[in-house]
Amino acid sequence: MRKEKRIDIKFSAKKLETSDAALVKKCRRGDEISWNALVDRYQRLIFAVPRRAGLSEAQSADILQEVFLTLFEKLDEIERPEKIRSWLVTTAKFKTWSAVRSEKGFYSAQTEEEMEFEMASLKDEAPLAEEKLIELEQQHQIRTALKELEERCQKILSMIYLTEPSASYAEVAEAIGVGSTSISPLRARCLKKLEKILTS
Amino acid sequence: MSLMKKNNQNAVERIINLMQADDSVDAPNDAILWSKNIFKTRAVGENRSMVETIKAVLKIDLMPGKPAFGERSGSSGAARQMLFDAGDSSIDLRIKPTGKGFELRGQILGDGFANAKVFLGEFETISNDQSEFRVENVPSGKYNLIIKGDRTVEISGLLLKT
Repeated sequence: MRKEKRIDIKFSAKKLETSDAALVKKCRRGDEISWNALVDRYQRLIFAVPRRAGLSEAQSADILQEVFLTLFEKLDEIERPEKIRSWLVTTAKFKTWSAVRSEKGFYSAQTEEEMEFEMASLKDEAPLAEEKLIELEQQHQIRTALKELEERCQKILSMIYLTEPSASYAEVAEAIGVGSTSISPLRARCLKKLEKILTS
Repeated sequence: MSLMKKNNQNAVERIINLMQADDSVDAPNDAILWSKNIFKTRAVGENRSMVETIKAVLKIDLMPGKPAFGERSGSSGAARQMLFDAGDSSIDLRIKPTGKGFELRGQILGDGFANAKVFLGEFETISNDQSEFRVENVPSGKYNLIIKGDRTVEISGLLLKT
């Protein structure tokens, strides 16, 4: 069996962090539009955490609501608004872990410290393994960065990489109104722009 | 190939792999809407200006049919009864599931809450002369209940679910 090559690449995505921080600060000033934008931006990532851990859609929806309620209550206490993504994922992880443990009839950790201690003492923490969470976070970053690109690039990359089955070059060319020979260089340029947002 | 160019190529490969492996889906619409609506209670809070908010503390929680310690029988009916302490007032809440969500009836026991404004998430009502209020057809979820009379009391994280 071919061993999969692991690539340790982190997306610094400073532009996205700046945008997150601006949203949090506007929320603190009572701006409802920014709160809605924050919910829209993060709902999918937060919902994915309990789903990835095997919880049902209804349980995962409950956790999503609890995470946003906690964010709402602690909005003024968050020390690093630019790191809101990590804060949300950690909170979702904590609540997911508590739900999984509680479902199995175990005592539920009440604090983050207790949860970290419990997780460290367990042999199998596969449902919420760190690598999977990083993958979810990076997929979120890509989706958010994609929205920063011009519409044509969004369409090209979405059709080729985000739809199942993937669209052919001919289909993409027809959708954006260019010749099919233009798609390969356009795709490469769009990927380059996406990579720049994610790594700069 | 230079190291920087190779790193860029690895990053692009990683982006493609992650996009192709992305099987996440949007959360249910009602959960998203609920999460957005939480913020409306903050807007209410902003307007309270210098009025002190008293956080209510749960003292008694009686599920339907379950007797409290020392009681011979459980609370009557299908309503869950909760009693909160809020400074020199108390709040008696009865929560009952109905066909269209939940009915929440309450009474503030203490002076200063007749004709008070009552906010429950996006719901809003006014208490009567006996400081009683009722909100109907409330969907499942977690709510902040805010009652604005001569002073403001708040019950945070009120969970409505069957």
